[in-house]
Amino acid sequence: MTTKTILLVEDNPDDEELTLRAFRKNNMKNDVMVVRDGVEALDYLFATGKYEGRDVVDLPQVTLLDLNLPKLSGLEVLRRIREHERTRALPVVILTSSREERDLVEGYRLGCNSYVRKPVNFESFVEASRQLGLYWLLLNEVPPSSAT
Amino acid sequence: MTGQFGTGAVIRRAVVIFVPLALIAWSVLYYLYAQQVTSSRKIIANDQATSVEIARQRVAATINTIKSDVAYLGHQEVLRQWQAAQTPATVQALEREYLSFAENRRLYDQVRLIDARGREVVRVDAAGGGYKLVPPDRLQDKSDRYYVTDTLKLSPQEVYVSPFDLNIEGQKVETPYKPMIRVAVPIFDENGATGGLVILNYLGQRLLDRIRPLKGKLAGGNDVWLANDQGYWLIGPHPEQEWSFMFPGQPQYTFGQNYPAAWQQARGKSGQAHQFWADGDFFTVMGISLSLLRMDETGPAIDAKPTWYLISHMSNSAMMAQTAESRKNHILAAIAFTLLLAGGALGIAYYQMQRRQAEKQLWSRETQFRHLVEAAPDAIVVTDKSGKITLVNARAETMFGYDRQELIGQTVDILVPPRYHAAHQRHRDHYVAAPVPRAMGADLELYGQRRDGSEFPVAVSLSPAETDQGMMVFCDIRDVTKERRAEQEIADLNANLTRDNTELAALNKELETFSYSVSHDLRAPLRAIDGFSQALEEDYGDVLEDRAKQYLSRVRQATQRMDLLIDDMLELSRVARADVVKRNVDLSEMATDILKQLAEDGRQVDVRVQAVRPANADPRLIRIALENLLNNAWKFTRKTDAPRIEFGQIEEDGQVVYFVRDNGAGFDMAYAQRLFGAFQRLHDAKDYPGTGIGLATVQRVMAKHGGRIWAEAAPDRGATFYFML
Repeated sequence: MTTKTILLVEDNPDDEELTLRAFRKNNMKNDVMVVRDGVEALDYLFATGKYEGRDVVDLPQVTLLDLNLPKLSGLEVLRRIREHERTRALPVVILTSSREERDLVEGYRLGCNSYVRKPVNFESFVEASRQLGLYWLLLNEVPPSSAT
Repeated sequence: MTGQFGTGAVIRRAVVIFVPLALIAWSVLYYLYAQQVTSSRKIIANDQATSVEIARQRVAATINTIKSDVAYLGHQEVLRQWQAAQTPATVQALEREYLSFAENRRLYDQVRLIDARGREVVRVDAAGGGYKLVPPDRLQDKSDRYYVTDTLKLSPQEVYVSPFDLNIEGQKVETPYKPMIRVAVPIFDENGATGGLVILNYLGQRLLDRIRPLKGKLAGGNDVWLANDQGYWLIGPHPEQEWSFMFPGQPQYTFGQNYPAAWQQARGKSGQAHQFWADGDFFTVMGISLSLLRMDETGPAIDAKPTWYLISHMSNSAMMAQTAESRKNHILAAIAFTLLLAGGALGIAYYQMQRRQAEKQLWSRETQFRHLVEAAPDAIVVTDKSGKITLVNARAETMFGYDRQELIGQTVDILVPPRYHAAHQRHRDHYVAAPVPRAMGADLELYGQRRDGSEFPVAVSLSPAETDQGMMVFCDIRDVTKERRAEQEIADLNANLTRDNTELAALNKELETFSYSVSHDLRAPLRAIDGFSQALEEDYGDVLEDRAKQYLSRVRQATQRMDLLIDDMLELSRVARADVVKRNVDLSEMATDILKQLAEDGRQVDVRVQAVRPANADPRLIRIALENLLNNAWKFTRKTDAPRIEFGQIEEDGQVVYFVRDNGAGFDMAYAQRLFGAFQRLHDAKDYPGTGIGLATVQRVMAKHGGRIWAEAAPDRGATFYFML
C-alpha cells in the first residue's frame, strides 16, 4: 500500500508546525500537503488555479480541515467537497480549536467524517493526532472512486 | 303595569268623582219630581176649585130659582086682591093659583101664605107625588116659628132663607129625611105695614142630589162636601155623620171636629174659595152666605157671614197616591243614575289612576334617564335625525365650554371643527340611513371643538333610539387627549424599544462573534506557546538548565490555566445567550451521573443523592449549573477527612428548594456577597484551582429560569448551596 498524501488546510503556521510535529511523533510517514486557505484547498482538490495540471484523480487519503480560514471558510470548503461527484466520498476531518456547538453540528450536517478539537495542551494534541492517524490512515479503506 | 295602585285608592278616587255628579243628578231628579208634585198639586187645586165652583153655581142657580119663585108669588095680582079684601073669593083665587104653581114647579114641599098674625091663609102640601090644598080647618098658627118672626121683620126687597135642616113633623124629624130650605118674602099693605108673608118650603134633597155627585176628575178625593154655618155636615165624608145637629143628645159631627185645622182656617170666610193645607191635607173651601138675600141681587151675598161651606178635600195619602207613579219613576231613575254614575266613576277612577301611574312611571323613568345621563362620566349629546341637539349633560357643558341653553336646538356641527363639517354631515346622513350602535370609534380620528375654538381629540360612540319624537341619536363623547398622549408615548417607547432591541441584537451578534473568535483565535497562540514550550523541553532538554526547564513548565501551566479560563468564559457567555427550553428533568439522576464522572479520579467520597421532585428546567443549562456545584463540592472536600457530598431537596413556603451540601472547606459568610460574581475567588488557587467563573455561570442559569441561588457556609465546616427554579 503506497503512502497517500494528507491534505492539511491550515492558515496558522504555528498550528501547521505543531500538527506536523505531532504526526512525526506518531511516526506517520505520509506526505502532508499544506494549503493556507479555503480557495487553495479547493484548487488543490480540483486541480484548478495554481494547481492546474495536477492529476485530479490523485486525491488525498484524508483532508484535515481547519474552520477558521481566510477567503473561504472551512465549512464552505466542506460543502463544495460534498457537492462535487468526485470528492463526495473524500474523508474530511474537521480540525479546529473551536468548541462551539454550532460548528460541530454544522460540520456533521455538511458531511464531515470526524471532528477533532485542537487542544491547547500539546500532549493531548499528539494523542488526538495519533488516534486520527490510526483510524484514517491505517484502518479506513479508501473509497473505490479515488482508486486508480 | 297594572296593579301598582290599591283598590282603596281607586275607590277613594271614584267617590270623589261620584259624589258631586250624584248630587247634581239627584238634585235634578228631585227638582223634576218637585215640579211634578207642584204641578200635581196645582192640578188638584184647580180640580178642587172647579168642583167647588160648579157646586156654587148649582147652589146659586137653585137659590135664585127659589128667590124668583117667591118673588113672583109675592107680587101676584091675586095676592093684592086678597090684601085688599080678605074674602073667601080672594082666598080661593090664591088657593087655585098656589096649587097650580106648586104642581107646575114641583120643587116645593109646601107653598103657603101666612098672614101678619102668623096664621096660615093658604097652604099647598106635596102629597103622594102630587099637591093638595090643606083645608081651612087644618091650617095652623105658625106665629111662633122662627121663619115667620124673622121674615116679618124684613123690609121690602129682602128675602129670607132659612137654615138648611130636616123637616120636623109632629115634633119629630120626618123620615126618610126631608132636607128643607124655607124661603120667604114679607108682603106689605098699602101703608107699608107688614101684611104677612109668602113662604116656599124647598125640597133640599134636590139640591143635595145635584151637589153630592160632584167629584173632581182626580181619583182619591176632591168630592164636594157641604157644611152649614156651624160646620155640621150636610154632605159629609160619611153619610151617617150628616145632619147630626138635628139630633141633640146624639154624637155630633162637624167639619171642625173632623178637620180642626182646616176649620180654623176656613171659618167665617165667605166669598172666594180659599185653598190651603191643613194637617197635611189640601182643602178648597168656599163660604157662601144665603140667609138674607135681596131681591135685586143675584147670587149669594158676598159680604155676609157664610151660611154654608162648600168643601173639597184631598187627603195627604190620596195626594201622595197622585204622585206615586212619578215618585216611583224618579226613584228608579235615581237608582239607575246612581248605579251608572258609580260604575262610570269607578271606570274613570281606574283609568285615571292607571294613567297617573303610567305618568309617574314615565316620569320616574325619564328622571332616571336624565340622572343617568347627567351622571355619565362622558359627555352625552342627544340629537334628532337632522343633527339638532335635544339634550346634553353637565359633562358636555364643561367639555365644550357651552351652557346647555346655547347648545340645545343647535346642530351638532357646533361641536365639530369647521374643516370636518362636510365629512361629518356625510357621516351623519350615512348613520341615519343605517343606524346601528357604534362603539367608541378607535378607528376614526375625531376632533371636537370647544367654544373658544380650541380642538381636542374625542372618541364617540353612537346608539340610535326610536322614540315617539322619531329616531334620536345618543352620542357618548369622550375626551381622549390623555389617551392619545399616552398612545403617542407608548408608540415612542415602542420605537425606542425596537431600536434598543435592534441595537441589542446587533450587540449580541457582535458578542457572539467575539466569543467565537476568542474561542478560536485566543486559543491558537496558547496552543503555540504550550506546544513550542514542550518542543523546547523535548528537543533541547539536554542543553537546558533545570531552572530553564522549570520556567518552561510554568509557561505551560499558565497556558493551560488560560485555556480553562477561556472555556469557562465561553460557557458563561453561552449560558447568557442561550434560549431556555424547559421540560421535566430528573435532577437526582443527573446528579448521580455527574458524581459518577467525578468519582473517576478515584477519590473516596460519601455521596448521598435523595430522590427529588422533577424540575421543570432546560436540561442542558441545569446540567451546567449542577456540574459546577458538584464540581465545587468535589473540589473543596479534597482535603477533608471523610468527605461527604449530598444532593437533596427541602420545602420552603410550599416550593421545592434543591441543595448541594458538602463538609469541605466552606467559606466565611462575610464574603457570601462576592460568591456569585465572575472571577471572584475565596480560596487560594494553589489549594483549590479554579477560574472563579463557575458560580457566576450557575447564578446566570438560575436567573434564566426565574429562580435564584444562595449559600450557607462556615470556614472548614462545609457549604450548602440552595437553589430554586
